[in-house]
Amino acid sequence: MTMDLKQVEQLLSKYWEGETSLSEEKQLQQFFSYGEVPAHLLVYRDLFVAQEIILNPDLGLDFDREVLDKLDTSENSTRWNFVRIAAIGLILIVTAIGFFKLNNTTNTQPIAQEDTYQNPEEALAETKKAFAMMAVAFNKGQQPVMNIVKLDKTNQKVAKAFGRTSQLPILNE
Amino acid sequence: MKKIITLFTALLIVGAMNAQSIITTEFSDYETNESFTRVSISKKMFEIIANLDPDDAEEKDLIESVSKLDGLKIIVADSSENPKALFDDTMKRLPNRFEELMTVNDEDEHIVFLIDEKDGRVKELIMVMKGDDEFVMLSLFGDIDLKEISKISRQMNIDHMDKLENLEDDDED
Repeated sequence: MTMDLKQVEQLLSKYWEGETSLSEEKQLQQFFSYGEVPAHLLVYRDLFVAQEIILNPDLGLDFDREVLDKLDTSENSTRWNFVRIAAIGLILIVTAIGFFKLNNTTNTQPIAQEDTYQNPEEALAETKKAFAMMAVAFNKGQQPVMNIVKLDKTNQKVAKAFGRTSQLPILNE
Repeated sequence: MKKIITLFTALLIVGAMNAQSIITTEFSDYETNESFTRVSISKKMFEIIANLDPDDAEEKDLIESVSKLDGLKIIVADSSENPKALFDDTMKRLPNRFEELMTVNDEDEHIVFLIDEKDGRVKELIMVMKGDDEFVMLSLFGDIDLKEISKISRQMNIDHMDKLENLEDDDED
């Protein structure tokens, strides 16, 4: 919808007189918004462009970007919220476990009282018995090793006695 | 995030259970079984024991290394139970963080020593024993110095050890 300059100037003078109809004003707005405005009419451009914007609110070029920005920040903030929730959850869990553990240690007091022996002498005697039991097993396990050591020593003695430096073949079997 | 929380929680729970014997955590049915002889000596009792005057050097060593323990638990099942089944069941149920330290087999006994070791520190030493008519499970937990314990075992005046020392003496003759 193009208008030539004459028409525009006619409409303009009509506009200044206040005689333009709404549709004529619209034509002017469109001309100034989208048409090629000659230099001497540039002064009026802002007026009509402003009208055009006010009357026909457009999403505008920035709209998408703004919305996207907003989306971005809202996505960000939900992410932040999640982190915050997770952190709170973690703190809760840690506190709960700390509490639980504390409770547990206070619970071990009764367990400590559940000690089989109330008398330290008796407890020591039992501990000794336990160690003795382990000692028997330990030594049983070590006895064959000791025997080999002993055998080795004997062999060395025999070897020495016979003037040999090498071990007797019995060990290698 | 969920995974991290789960991991964190799991770690905390594991941490919280650290100071407990395997007998408490995995074999609570043994601890509550009335037909077993159950002995429990707590950290507290060991702390009291640490204040006792030792009778001799051997006892002094024992008290010293025992004072670092968090506890000692012993389960003994006598002839009324089936020692073999108990032994096999126990070995099957042991978590695999336990490493076998030593096994002793002879005609009437089967003994296994296992340790729970992490970063060079032994947190728990257990002994599981099966005899003809007896099952024994023994757990030492806390800060365990294996050298110390084997030293104590050696010092303990046990028949086996005497024999060994006699052998050693014979050897020197």
